[in-house]
Amino acid sequence: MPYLELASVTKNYRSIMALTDLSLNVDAGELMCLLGPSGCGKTTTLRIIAGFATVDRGHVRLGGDDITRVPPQKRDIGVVFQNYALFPHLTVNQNVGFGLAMRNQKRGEIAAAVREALRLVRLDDVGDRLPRQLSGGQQQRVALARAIAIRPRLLLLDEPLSNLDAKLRDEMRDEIRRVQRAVSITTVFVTHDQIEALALADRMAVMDRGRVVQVDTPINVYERPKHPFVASFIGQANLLRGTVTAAQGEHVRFETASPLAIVGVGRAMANGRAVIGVVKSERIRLSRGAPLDVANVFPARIESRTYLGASIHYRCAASGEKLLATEPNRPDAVLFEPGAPIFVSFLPADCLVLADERTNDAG
Amino acid sequence: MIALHFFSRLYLGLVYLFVIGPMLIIIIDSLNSATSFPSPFETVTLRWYVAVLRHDEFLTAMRVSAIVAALAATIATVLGFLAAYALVRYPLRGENAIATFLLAPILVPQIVIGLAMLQLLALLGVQLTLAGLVAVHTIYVMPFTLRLVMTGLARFDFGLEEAALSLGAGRLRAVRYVTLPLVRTALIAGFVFAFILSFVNLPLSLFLTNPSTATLPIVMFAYMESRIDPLVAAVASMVVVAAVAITVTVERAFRLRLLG
Amino acid sequence: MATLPLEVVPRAADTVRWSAYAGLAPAVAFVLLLLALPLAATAYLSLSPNVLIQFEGLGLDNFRYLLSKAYYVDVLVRTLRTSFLVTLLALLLGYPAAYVLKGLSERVGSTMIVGLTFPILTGPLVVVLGWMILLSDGGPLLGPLVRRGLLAPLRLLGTETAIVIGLVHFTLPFVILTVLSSLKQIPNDLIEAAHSLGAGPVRMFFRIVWPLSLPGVISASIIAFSLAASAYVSPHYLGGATQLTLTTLVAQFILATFNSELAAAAAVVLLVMMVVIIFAFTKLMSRLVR
Repeated sequence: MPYLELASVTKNYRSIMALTDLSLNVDAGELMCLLGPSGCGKTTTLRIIAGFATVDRGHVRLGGDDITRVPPQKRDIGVVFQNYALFPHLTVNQNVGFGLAMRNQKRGEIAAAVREALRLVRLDDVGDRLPRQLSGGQQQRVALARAIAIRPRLLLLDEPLSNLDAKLRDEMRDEIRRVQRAVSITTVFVTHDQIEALALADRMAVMDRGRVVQVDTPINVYERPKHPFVASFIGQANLLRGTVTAAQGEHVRFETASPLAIVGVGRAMANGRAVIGVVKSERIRLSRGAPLDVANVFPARIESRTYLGASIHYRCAASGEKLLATEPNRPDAVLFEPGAPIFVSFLPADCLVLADERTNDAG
Repeated sequence: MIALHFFSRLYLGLVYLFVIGPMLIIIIDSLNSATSFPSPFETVTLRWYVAVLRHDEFLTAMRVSAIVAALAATIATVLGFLAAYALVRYPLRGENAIATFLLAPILVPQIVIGLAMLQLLALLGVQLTLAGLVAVHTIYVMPFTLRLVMTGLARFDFGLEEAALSLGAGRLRAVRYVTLPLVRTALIAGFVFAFILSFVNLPLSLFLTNPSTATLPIVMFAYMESRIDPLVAAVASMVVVAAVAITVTVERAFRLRLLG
Repeated sequence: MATLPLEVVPRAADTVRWSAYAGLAPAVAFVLLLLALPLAATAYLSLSPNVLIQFEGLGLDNFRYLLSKAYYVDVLVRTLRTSFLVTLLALLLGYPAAYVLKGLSERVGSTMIVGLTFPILTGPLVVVLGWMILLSDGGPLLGPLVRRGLLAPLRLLGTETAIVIGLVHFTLPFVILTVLSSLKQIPNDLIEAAHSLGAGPVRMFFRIVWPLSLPGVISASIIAFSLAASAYVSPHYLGGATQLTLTTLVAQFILATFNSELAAAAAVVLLVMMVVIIFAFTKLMSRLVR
């Protein structure tokens, strides 16, 4: 049985449908990431779990108990807020011990628990300082310690890393993972950064416009997206729109408007069906001469080249179709010049063919 | 350019002299040993202050004013906080209208506020007591406390309350342990301002006092109907010094808090 | 507020219950019972017959009486005249002062701002006492001039001029503070941009600073006018019984003439006058701010 369960949750904000019939299960001890663009409802979902927002329809269950109508202070859920929300007028010790003080524990017990929590997040010697005397990274550790000190049933993190600079972000990401594993606490983590989600999650839920589009392990979400939205949101993918011309087994042949005849893999689909072929930019190969052993080969022209250090981005045009190709920056790599005529190629296995929901619905 | 700089500073100085002048004159004349008023300065003396401290009527009036002001300021601050919290925290329907309604008493002339209360009590056949006096003073100062607390709460991050909730604090405890300490400055400023405004006010009390509930301004008013002398100047100076001292103290305390 | 993306959650949109309105209830009840109700009593009395003017039931006879007597019309006109004059003078004196204040350093500036609040906090009674001394012909200001024959005795006390001086003094700090706060809201970037585009100080003022400070000027005018029209202490001591304004008239009706109904009628006239003019000012402001 899942530890945290959202069942058919619907929420309106003044006639805007924030969440539509959303269902999600999180297993005990799991770190689940909610990933999606701005406005997709991930923060709303988190606030509903925490109890700061009410649901119009549906249920929230934790450990078997229905907590849908339970006020936040009784839910026993630890929250790390995006701006940390540390109490500025209390010391670090007082902040971390706040939840325990609210539970009327004895001073000695509180002090011990606070020490323990600070030790867990690797913060010593700051107990008597005020939040404004700490760095961003330290403040975040205190926020984490504060949420954990009450030994909650569930831990929620709302984009905790977005206020940190890049290097600190990587470091804190690992810290959060480490702490989460150390206390084996069920955790839900909201982010708009897919790298974070891929790195941290045991499973991730990709959300779009109030709905969960796909819930899966990071590898599956990345390699085998089930929906064009997921395919376009995760990684850097090229989306090739066309209609099915033939299908055999797992191979699907489709033609774009350009026209390009492409072979990819996907579910069996009827001819004429509108589809999107998803090709990750790192799976597109560029070469001067046309390779002979690959099914999808098209002549193209380099439009621009961007040097990114570890990799190089090429924007190409193949018969009117714009493609993004990413080549790793190896010492023996060939650097193509903008304007150069080249060939782009990719394997059918690297082209995932998905039904184009929108066009099919409209048609 | 330098001339402009000089003249602009001079202008400001003159304006300040104009603004502070009357208060300085009062203090100076209260130290004047001359008995008639006004008259050229003779010698410095404190005898008028001593006379005030022996003047029962003024002393009683000071006490009454202090009580009325303390009551009015307390009620106004409490009511103001409750209303300000509701207005700032929640998006309520009609909140602008309600806020305008609560701030409206500022626009009503104080003498009319006092008159209206007098006339209502007369129509109802109710006697004039301290309660009526406190009521009009509270009505008068509440818009100030409301405004000040609203400004303080507007700067407050209500996410901190949510954090407290997530840690197990009920709404009341969240407000008590997190919100109130952090808006303390605004609350104190509101209280002090309300106290002072009430203490020095005359028109509100004009129709509502009886001999046992005479405030200091009322007693001064009655006194000044028949004569102006250094005694009342001494009383006035005491008010000046007290008001200035309280303001500067509170201001300093907040400066330190803001810097520290 | 309506255009924020969904992820930035509106403040406590979900927890609005009756308890939210509960916080407002005490204050609203207080104002209703202790201001609205009394004002209704005053309105009622203003329409009621009295010793001087007899009629049946409720009617506007009291108002007709007041507005038909030249003496009382004079009082109304005097109130309007002094209030507008005070507003104008306070603005003329206060705007430049605020402008200079704005240019001062943080510390000096804030000290001076605190200094401006002193007259407000010591209360008009104390301050007017000071003016009574300063404006009297035997006092420390005019006395030496009169005695040396440099000045004919001005007999300022008991004139409208004295009232205006007293009220300008009273409203000046409010005007300066209001204008100052609106001047401070003009972003420095705009001034710098104008400089870089070649604007000299005069053009800078008329094209940039003045127009942007206009809402603050209107606010200050409304405040000054309200304060001047509702003032009691200054008109009472500096104008005396010969130069009545609507406020001192109300007091005279109660304390001297003992006519509660006419006092109520005068109070209603004062309120209506203020509402109408402030409404007009506010309309003007919204037209300017667009």
